[in-house]
Amino acid sequence: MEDIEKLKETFYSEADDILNNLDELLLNLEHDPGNRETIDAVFRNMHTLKGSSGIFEFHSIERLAHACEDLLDFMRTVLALSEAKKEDAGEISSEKMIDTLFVGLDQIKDMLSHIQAGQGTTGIAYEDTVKNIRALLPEKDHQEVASNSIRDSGLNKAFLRSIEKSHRDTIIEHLRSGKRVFQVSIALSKYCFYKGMDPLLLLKNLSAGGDILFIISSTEHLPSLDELNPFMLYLDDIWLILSTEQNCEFINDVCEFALAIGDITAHSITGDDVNAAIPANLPANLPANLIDADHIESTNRISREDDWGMEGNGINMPESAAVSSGLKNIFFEFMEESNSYLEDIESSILLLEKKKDDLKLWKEDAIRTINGNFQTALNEIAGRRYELERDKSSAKLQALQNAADQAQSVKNNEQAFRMGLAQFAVEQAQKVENRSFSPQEIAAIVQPIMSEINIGFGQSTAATSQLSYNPYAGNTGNTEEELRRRGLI
Amino acid sequence: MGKNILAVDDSVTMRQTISTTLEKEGYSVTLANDGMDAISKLNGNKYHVIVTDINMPNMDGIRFIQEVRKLASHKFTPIIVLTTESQQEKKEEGKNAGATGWIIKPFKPEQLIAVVKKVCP
Repeated sequence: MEDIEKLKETFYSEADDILNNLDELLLNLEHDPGNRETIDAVFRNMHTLKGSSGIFEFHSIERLAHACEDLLDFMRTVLALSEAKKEDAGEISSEKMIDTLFVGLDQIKDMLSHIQAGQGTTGIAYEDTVKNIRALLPEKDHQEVASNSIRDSGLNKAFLRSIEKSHRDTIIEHLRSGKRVFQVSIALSKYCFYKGMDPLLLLKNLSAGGDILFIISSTEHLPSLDELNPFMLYLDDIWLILSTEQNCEFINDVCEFALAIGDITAHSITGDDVNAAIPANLPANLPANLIDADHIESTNRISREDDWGMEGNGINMPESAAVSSGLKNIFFEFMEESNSYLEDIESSILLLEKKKDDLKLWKEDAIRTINGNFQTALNEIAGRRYELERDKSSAKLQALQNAADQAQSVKNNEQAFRMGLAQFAVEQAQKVENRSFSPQEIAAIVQPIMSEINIGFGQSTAATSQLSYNPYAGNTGNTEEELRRRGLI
Repeated sequence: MGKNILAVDDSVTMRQTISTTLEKEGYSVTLANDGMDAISKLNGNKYHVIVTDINMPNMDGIRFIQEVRKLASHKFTPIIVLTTESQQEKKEEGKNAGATGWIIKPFKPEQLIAVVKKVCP
């Protein structure tokens, strides 16, 4: 009970989301009625709502949502038609259909809020809306999909004759105790395993509701071990005698899914059938070829078309059949064993897949590590190179600096030398003239000597520019005199 | 040992209904929102039965079944499709894609249990 309440809460919240989605989707559809994606989305939402409301037996919502869903399906069909065919399909405009959907949606909302408030939906005239929607739809051609059910193939006397005495007695016993006894045949597609179907499953389920008194199968098509594909069913037909307290419906129910990929028959047998078919003095071990192949050919295996299109041929009836008293047990053991092998194989495959994944992870990891190391090495090289470049340029700079320093010291030395020279020249000149020179006269001697410095070096440093005296700069009056003094003019 | 079941449906109500119903029966249930999600949950796991809806966004039920049948681990696993009465052709499509059985929505909890037991006793 508690679960149901919790589930209902989930349903209400999901329905709320769906109704909001539908509001928006229908508005979109109104603007773009030919949008297939929008129609699909509306359909999906309606479909979900229909399914969930059915679970809680909210049949009113379910019915209305179902009608809307059918209308949407019709819209899809019309959309897929060519223009010419659309006209034939009817005069109903998509506007009209979308309007009707809006009406349906509003009513669903009303019903949902009524239900949530604990009221019924009796006051809501949803049936009219359902009718209006259905009126838009073309008459449905009621194509009943033939539902599969087991056939009554009639009595297979050859099969009954193949049953030995001890089993015949058991069958009679069961019949006397009021049980129903059926002759059942199971023939599945050889690819049945690929649809998740296994004949052993059917036998287990039949055993759960009764007793399998006798079972036989042909091993005629069973290949040698090295040719055997464990994923194929080689037991063409399985014939068995089932004793049960239930009716034929039980067999039908057990075989419901198997009928989709095979042929299953059942026939209720009586004590008279058994007595008539089995001679009392039957030898214990029967030779093969007891099955009445003609009988089976005519009553059985309408078609064993394989849905997979792998091999469309019907499977031939066995011409011989192996019979033995312990066959039932051996058969079960064999099936159990093959099943356990299958499981082993499956788990091995799973393990292999895991290993493959592990290997992939390991590989990815290794690649990552290698890439990482490579990157580190690259970074290191780049770092070294940078250092080298840095060292190299600092060495160059140092050399330049040294050269500059040397040049500077050469310049300084020369300056000092010239200063000395100038001083000596002035002293000598004063000695010769035997008088002190005026500053102008001294300058006239010193300047040409000192100015040579600037001629030797293009650039003048702050130190030299203070000391240097350029006779051609700012003292043009001296230029002519200087040129004359040098004997140039 | 509890059997593992993978249930695939885009409706949260349906997912919860399935898990509540089957867990009560002792099954261990893994849920997925759509085919894409379910495929990722199959990887490295083994399920005894798969229950799947048809109409789903991203990857629908039919495509999902086709993909499952390609996996070595779940080639032979029983697959139950959830269909509605109005979707008979979907049932056929599902069958052709490799589904084992079907259950018609809406279903009662006991119906779901019966169908699961039918393919995995």
